[in-house]
Amino acid sequence: MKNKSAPEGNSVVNRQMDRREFLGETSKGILTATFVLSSLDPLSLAGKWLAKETGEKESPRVQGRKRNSGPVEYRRLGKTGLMVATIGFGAMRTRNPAVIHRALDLGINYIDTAHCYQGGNNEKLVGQVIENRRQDAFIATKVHVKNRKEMILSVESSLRSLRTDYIDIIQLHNLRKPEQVTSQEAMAALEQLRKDGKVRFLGVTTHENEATVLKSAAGTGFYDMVLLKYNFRSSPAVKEAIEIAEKAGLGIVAMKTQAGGYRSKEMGNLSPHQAALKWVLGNKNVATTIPSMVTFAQVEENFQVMGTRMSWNDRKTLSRYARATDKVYCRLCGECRDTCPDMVSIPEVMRSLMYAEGYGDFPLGRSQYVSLAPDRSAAKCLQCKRCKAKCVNGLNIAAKMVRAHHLLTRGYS
Amino acid sequence: MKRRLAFIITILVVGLWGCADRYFPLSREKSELENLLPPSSFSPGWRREKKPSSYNPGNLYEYIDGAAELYLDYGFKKLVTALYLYEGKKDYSLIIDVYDMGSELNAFGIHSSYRGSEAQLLEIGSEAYLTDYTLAFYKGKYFVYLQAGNPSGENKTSMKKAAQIVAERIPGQAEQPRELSYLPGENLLKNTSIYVPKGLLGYHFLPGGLQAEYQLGKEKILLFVGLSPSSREAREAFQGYVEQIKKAGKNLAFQTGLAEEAFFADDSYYGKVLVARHKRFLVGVVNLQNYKEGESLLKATLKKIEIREE
Repeated sequence: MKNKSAPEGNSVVNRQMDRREFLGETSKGILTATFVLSSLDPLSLAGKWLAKETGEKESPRVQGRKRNSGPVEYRRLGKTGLMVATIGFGAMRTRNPAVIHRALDLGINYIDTAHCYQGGNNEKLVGQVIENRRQDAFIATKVHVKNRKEMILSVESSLRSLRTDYIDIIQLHNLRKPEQVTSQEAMAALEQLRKDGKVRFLGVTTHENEATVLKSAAGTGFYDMVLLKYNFRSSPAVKEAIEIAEKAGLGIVAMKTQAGGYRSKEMGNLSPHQAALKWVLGNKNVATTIPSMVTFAQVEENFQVMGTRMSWNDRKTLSRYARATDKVYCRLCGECRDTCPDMVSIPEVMRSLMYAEGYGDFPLGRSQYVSLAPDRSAAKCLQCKRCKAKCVNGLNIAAKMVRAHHLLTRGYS
Repeated sequence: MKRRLAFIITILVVGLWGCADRYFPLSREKSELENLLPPSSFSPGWRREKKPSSYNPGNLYEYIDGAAELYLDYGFKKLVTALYLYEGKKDYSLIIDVYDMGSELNAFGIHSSYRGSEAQLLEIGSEAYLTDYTLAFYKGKYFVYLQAGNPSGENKTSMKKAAQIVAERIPGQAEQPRELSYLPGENLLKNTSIYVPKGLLGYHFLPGGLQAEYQLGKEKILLFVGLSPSSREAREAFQGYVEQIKKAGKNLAFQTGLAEEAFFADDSYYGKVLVARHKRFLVGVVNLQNYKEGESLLKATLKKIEIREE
């Protein structure tokens, strides 16, 4: 198993301790120890060893010691040798550089972006952050499988946007079939980029047909890591494929760890997010995760997960979450459309409810709901005695329509 | 007999035609979007390849992977996409995506996420920009994104032509969301106005709203206008910011005379900030060198909001 947390004294600490207290208590010791042992700093030595083993670039962990909080758990990312914090930063929806700065300050050292996110603006945002602190983060971005020349041009454009002269990990974006993984054109482009020093490590991403893609990537011996959809709803086949891939030396990064990020009233005040992340990290073959973070609060919430284990309460929370979402999670398949004789726009009402309850974005849910034509809203459902609408996944449409109407029209004027 | 049969069939066909919209709204919506696409041969040499594909919030990931989350944040409803090819030239291709974002503000929001500050603007729809490979614009509730196979002049000309056709097919006038009129024009930096659907400044307690950069002397400052659904929610957001300053900021000082409630403070992430609430609006200026420099911008914004909301 490659679960390597940072050396003692800088790894998982007592979670009971407040961060300020921790800093206060340890800073005195660190000052003295640093003075005496600066030349023997184990982190520094480890980092230099890693840098020597894995390439020319030094690990962010070595130089990223300015962070103002202690408890960071590291794992090795497969044969890349990179020591990554188990919580990475999914930047795809982030709009404020300050939020990424906060994560880096805490010690999160893996940022995931893509050339196509926000039409290239997402890479620019990340570039704005890392320009003056490149040593604090490993940068992973993506390129679509095209012809060799276009792929190289795309990565060169990413380098300019990211304001750096090297990308730590370049990934082939969104692969579904083995033949995409073994594309000679794509592999040649990646090899060229690595040879030219523009990228350090190579990977693939997948969130469909994950097990097949994973095994295929492992079989090539060419790639260093895989980014895949993995959460508590994933099938055992995916878990098995992760184990095979990890044994073959691939670093495993998990995305979509929240399985929809759905919250429901049935969960009360319990947030399933931390439990869902803990579940993923409970698989020691997973090196890091990249939950999408938009707000400071999300950074803090995810950060707290590092170094913790699934407790009995977490299992209970996750189990409740799974049960609750089974009953309420609308897959938006659209099969219910037209099954209401009164022409209520069931999928649109469901979507509004999902925004409000699932994404926690009540204003968006409400604005979507009130934009429906009055004769297509769920107002009719309040009077309906016998719901004829059908959900192929067994959701109670009548109850959800009434709930949506009450919730989304509350206090609206 | 034959006449009677023909009459009955005619009545049935007309009746079914009339009911089609009522009983097949999905196909109606799809065809509405498809009708916005340029015709198969919108320009000599070009033809549409296969039938257009459509996506909904449940399967948008299949088309644009992780980028789908951003669209979902902005209330994405439906997408129709089509590929056009140029006969005889393999590397000439054009992908046209028409996104129904549900509202004009959401369409502007996703458009502003994609538009960079250096974007070359065009007069297509409400606002358009062009890069080597892409052309994007929004009009009404639609965000339209075109991608060319290569950055040749021919492809760019074709992108503009196709975009103009789509813009003309979208009903209504090309206008900007009225919320944009809250932003004062003086010293506003080009291409920096964006709409964020929730959590302005990355603070979960703030609502969605507008953000824009202003050049005041040598300094760039950030203005935000939070758009809460009600005064009560705006008050809660204001209080949330006060609590944040108490927790991780300093020098909190409440001000009178600026708005219904207001404060100056030092925010740990945004430096000196000035924040005010007027009815359901939360207006703030951040990254200030000194409090005074933001005050006039804040007052100008509040005035514009008052005028527009009266």
